[in-house]
Amino acid sequence: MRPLSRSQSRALLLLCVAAPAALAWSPRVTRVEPRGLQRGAACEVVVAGERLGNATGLLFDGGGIAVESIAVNEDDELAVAVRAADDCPLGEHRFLIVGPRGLSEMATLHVGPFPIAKEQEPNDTPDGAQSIERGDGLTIRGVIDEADVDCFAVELAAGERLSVDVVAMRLGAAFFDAFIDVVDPSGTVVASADDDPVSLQDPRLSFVAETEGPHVLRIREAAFGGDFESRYLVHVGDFPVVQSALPAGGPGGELAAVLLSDARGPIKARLELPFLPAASWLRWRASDAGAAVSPTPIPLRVAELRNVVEGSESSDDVGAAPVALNGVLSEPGESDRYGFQAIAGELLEVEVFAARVGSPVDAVIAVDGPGGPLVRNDDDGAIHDSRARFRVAQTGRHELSIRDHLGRGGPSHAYRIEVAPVQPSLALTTPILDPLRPQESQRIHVPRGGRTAVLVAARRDRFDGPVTIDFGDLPSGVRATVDPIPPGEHLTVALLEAEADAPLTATLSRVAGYGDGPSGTVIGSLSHEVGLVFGEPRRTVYYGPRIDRTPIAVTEPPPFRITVEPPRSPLARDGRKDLVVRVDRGEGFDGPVTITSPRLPEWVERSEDPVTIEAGQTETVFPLIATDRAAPGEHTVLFVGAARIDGAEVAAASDRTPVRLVAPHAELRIAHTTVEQGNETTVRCLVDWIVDSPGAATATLHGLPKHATAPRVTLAPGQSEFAFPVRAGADTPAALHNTLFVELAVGEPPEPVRQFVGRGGVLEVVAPGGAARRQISRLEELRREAARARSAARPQG
Amino acid sequence: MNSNYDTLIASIGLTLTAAVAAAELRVYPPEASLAGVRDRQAVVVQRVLPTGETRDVTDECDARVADESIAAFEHGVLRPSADGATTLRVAHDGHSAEVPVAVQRSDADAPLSFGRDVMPVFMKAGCNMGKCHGSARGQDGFRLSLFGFDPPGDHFRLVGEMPGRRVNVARPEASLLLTKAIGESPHTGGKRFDRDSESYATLLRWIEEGAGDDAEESAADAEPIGITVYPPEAVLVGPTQRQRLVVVARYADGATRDVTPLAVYLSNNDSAAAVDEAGVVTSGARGEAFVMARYATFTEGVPVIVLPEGGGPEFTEPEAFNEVDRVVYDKLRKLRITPSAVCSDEVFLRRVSLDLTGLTPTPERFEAFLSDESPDKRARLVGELLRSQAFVDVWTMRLGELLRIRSENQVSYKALLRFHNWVRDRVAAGEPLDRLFGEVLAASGGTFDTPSTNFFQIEANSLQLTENVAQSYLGMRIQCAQCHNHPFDRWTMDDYYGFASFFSQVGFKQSRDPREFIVYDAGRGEIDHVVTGEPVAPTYLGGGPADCEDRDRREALAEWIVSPQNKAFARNLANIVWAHHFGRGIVEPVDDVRISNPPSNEELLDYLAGRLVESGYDLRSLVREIVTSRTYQLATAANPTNRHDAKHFSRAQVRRLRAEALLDSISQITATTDDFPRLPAGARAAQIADGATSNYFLSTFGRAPRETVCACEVDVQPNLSQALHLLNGDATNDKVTEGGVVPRLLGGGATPRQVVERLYVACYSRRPTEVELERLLATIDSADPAQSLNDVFWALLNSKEFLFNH
Repeated sequence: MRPLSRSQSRALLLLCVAAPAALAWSPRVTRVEPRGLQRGAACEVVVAGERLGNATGLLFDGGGIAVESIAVNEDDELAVAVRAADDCPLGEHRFLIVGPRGLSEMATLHVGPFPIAKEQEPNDTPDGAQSIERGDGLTIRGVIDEADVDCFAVELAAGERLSVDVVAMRLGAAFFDAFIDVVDPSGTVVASADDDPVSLQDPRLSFVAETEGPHVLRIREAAFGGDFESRYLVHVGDFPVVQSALPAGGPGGELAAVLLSDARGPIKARLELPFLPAASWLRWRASDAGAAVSPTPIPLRVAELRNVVEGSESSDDVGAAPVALNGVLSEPGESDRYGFQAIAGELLEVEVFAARVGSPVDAVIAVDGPGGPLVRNDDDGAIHDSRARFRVAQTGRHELSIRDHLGRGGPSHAYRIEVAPVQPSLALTTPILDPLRPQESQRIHVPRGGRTAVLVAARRDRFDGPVTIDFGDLPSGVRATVDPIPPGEHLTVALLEAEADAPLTATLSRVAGYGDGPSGTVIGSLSHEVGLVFGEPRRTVYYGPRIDRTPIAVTEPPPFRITVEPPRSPLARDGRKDLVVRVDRGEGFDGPVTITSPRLPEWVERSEDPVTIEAGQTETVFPLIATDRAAPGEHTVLFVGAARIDGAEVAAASDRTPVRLVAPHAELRIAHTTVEQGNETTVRCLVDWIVDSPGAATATLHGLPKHATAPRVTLAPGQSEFAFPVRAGADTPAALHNTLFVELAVGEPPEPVRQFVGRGGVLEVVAPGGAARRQISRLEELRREAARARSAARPQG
Repeated sequence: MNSNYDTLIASIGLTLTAAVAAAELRVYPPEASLAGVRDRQAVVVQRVLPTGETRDVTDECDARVADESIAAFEHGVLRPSADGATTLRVAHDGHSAEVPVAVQRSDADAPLSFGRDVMPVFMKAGCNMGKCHGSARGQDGFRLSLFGFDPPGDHFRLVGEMPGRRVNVARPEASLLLTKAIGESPHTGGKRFDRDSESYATLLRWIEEGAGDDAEESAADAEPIGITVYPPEAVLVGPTQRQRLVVVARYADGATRDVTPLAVYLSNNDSAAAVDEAGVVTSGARGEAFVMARYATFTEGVPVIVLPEGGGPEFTEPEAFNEVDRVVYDKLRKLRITPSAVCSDEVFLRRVSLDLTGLTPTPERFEAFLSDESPDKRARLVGELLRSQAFVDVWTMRLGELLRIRSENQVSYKALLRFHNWVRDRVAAGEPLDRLFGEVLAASGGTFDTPSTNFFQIEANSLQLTENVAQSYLGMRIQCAQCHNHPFDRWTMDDYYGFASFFSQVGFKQSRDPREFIVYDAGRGEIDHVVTGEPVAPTYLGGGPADCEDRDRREALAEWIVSPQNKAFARNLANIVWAHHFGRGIVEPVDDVRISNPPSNEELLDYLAGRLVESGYDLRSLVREIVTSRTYQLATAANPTNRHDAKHFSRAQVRRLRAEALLDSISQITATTDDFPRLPAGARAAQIADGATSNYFLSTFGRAPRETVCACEVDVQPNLSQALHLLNGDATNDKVTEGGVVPRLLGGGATPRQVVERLYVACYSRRPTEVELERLLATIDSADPAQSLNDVFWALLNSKEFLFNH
């Protein structure tokens, strides 16, 4: 990981201390078993976890699976009867457990085309292999304990194809890197598979038997690991196992593609690509004539770009961008070249899709313009797929070449290159506040009759206009208020409020962003990379879906409310304002509540100490400290109170409170003063009032050295000169102390405007009798003046 | 293990045999050329007696220059008089010989060269040794480059660092360099030479001539390309025999120079043959010594055998089983050592099983082998063992040690396991070793999809990698040359950085799997010489510069390393295979090949290397040849001539079993299995893929953790923890009980006597003697024989006879 810059780590720190309301006393899922069921079949799924006792339902991200009943076995275990419809989409179905107090983490169920059988131990050796009838396809579910090997015997005729597709890491449960091989009747390993460009750590293979007889399929952990959580589903049948397609995508409409890399060779396929408003992905399951459908889909790119397929037309001149180039690096050392036209001044992006379409290619691209090379790029911008952006310098024929980084090639080494002008784009995310529990920031709990605050970040590309954010598909009775993100900023706080009688339901909300782009609205959406399986190094996500909807649930109100007393005076730049935050505790709760704020105005900070309303107390002050770079204006702040209840963290947000930030009322200079240890002096201050009729004020001298004291001084309205009587202690260090500043509290108590002025004032403490001798020379005076000027000129912050 | 030279060949008597050709007179160097008035050439005359004994007769012979106007010969040294050609004739005891003498530029007196004349003085006088001014921090404020690796730097420090002090051109004799060296000024290092020495004269003259440095073009000429030490060998009989050495340096332009007085001399066995600073060897106790001369960056040596006076047992040559024996006998004949007798079938079976499979033979195999009457049964047994999976395990383990297969922070267990399996598949398939090692060196790809690339992931530091390759592939430790020229070998810093340069362009990047890295040829990146700060072109170690234009440097290296141009690779592998079967290498340690550590039998090493190459680097064929030799099948019992021989393979050595073989054998005999992490149930210790995986037993008995490539990681030295662990630990006691071998035998109807016999066969591969049986059976409690028989079993596993291969 790239180390964070100072400003980034500062931002992160602020976010961490300002955790918003998404923390849960919500249910928690630790295990789901089984994770697979057949399409059209029913199944009882045991969901184990914590706080599951009053779960009310499962929130699926797609249709096809019906929950027929939920029974609570114990508080930490549910028995859920589910049924997959006959037309249920194959593959992964994600769900969250819904309860009156929120949503669980995401878990998955896999719907497959085949009947499911269970592994029967002992089956650790080929001799003791479990016999299976492959039929039209079969799915076995099993578990690999440490150093365990599961063996399954399948009868094959010569010439028959055996296809195997393991779902292990993709179950989204445990870190389980599977390995498979097939042993023929003579004991020879005839096929094996480990990692796969399409299914990553989950192995797949297809092979055609040369001899008749029982073949043994063996499954183990790739490095002889495994444990009781290392569960898998293995699909065994006669289905195509393909790597990628040529072309690996196209515009909406019919696509004729060649599917690459099955044991029986390439397969011709025709399919309908949908018409989509923006470039997207289609995950397509292949089937060859009369055979079963492939359980693992291959990814196809759907984009409204002219499709050029290698070999079918001249690649010497493919015309002008935008264009999509599709080909295969079929031989080792092969480099494919395409000529295309570009116009000077265009900003073009060349993006390779190879790893992302299931190809083993690790692309290196080069673009040569008429005036020389423009780009040479073998970076791994997107999981080994090169991406390069360049401005066309000279109109004319450009040449784009692609090769594999290691010079590899082969029948399945397909690629797709999209060349298109760069368009403004927008993406929304929610910052991950707890790296150990990222899903806490990826779902939202809104208490009935209360509110919650969520940070939303916008990533703009090629535009800088304001971004407005809209929450769609909210649960009934929930309202979202989001301030637009102004130009130059990237964060906002969304406030979601639920009515007191809002039903306790959950939805998957589409959160859209609308940016003010140079030539129209730029649309983006909030999406989440949900990590389900983590592994070395550094808790890297090995498996997890990207979802473009945000789970939002209405929950029972927490047993406390947070309110803020609206401030009656403004916050001055380089000043401080203490806001009073109150908690109203409900019946049965008397614990401490920690107060944070998800977001403060720019250059406004809070105290570094945690702010807590202790048990037995009902209010606290939350200090806001405006630095000297804070901009005057109208702002709002809100606060989140968090408490631990029954081991779970529960949060509630306050309403928003306006805070007015103003410039300081005065400028002030402190005269350079010398005092002998144990003696008294007066420190003179000159005030230059900026505001009219400032009213009475009190002045406090801060930054005195130890054992030195000065009383507070009261100023008459508009008084332009005053002095602090200062007494230096006998033990006050004899030194030049340039730390003095004055706090001016202007206006009437209890809420005067507190501001810090006159920074850098000097008090020089000398030994007794030294005052006369310590008159500084003219040269020294000039030096000090120059030093002060230098430090004043230095940029701050 | 007796590795001291001074006790070797203890019982050799001088027996006159007809083995050595008739007596002759040899004169060295074979020709003399003198150039310039200062030139000289020492000559040594050696008399070789029919017995093989040699004598230095330089002072006794009648030596004459044919044309005395051209050259003069006095006190064994030729000096020029006038230009021309003549011969030096020597005669002794009825034999005569002559060498041609050529004189050129007899009146030329060229100024001294800093590199050619002055630098050798620092080496000779020891000024630039590590403990003196060669120390990295210098000594008393004055630093010279260690062993003279940086002549321009030394010149600067002498002349430029403190102008006028160390070297005073105005008053040369007042130079500190001189006054300290002769002890006139206080010098921590004391007096190094006399005012009237040649060294003093050289330094003084150089200063008088202006203390100049060599011009850049002549600096290269000042570097010799090699040295030759004469005579090539000596066999001295009796103590206090003297043999002078002559050292001739060779230069690129074909010139030679007598550097006998400038060379530094060293004997690796002073008690047999000591050498003084003039290069005169004096014999001492019987033994074999390797006497070396060092000049500039070169070290060369000659073997000196010292035999005692008087007679001794006659050398008798047994029948040779194959060519290996004949080559071994050639050496033993010189040493007057008669090899031991051939071992029994029982001993052979156990020895060869342990060496080839890492397991003791099963009782079933024992019975079948002993009852086999056919004359070729040993060869057939070897064939069977070579085909076994256990043989594959043993050599996968040995190669795993050489390639350092071990999981580390950056190396996932999966990557490592794939590397292990890759090696295993190749050993199983009998892939030629040159191809296997070559593929590793040139590997590019993912650490998962191309497992051999893990070699570069396991050690990603280029310099460390360079050293590992030199040590594993060539058996050479070049670590010293990273910081200074190797003092006891030929390797210079130029060699080191030239070799490291092959690894300067290894690229790494993350693969799709976060645990996987891709190793590739980055095509750019250099390693800078630490002295010059300049990149060094890739240079084969002892093989000249490489042409790596537009190609992966590692591929070029891989090609060269396994090519016929590089003899060191085949010799190294042959030595490693030999050492595996004898407990010590022909070069020992196997990974410390250097001039100052010569092979104990050069011809044998050459022969084995040649056989390995001829067989297409077939491991099994080399192993077969070695273990079917009579030399491998010798008994451990000594005869009077070989009692003290440990390095000439005249008898078998008693060797403790390797940790893995010991544990696997105990488990096999006790019918138990071990549970190693991340290995299939029932896996044996020899099958552990990861150097980092171990258990208490294996660590105690010295399993290699593969933290370095050093052969010393495999520790077969006995220690107290091992004895205590066997006595008290769970290895033997628990396994004896857990395996239930004794109750099973008793339950099958065996009598206690049969059980004891069976245990003996299982543990020792022999039947008990009647005395042993009688004593043991007397301890068996007839009411509960199982308990006492288990005690017998435990005792057998704790015995030396079990722990050692013999």
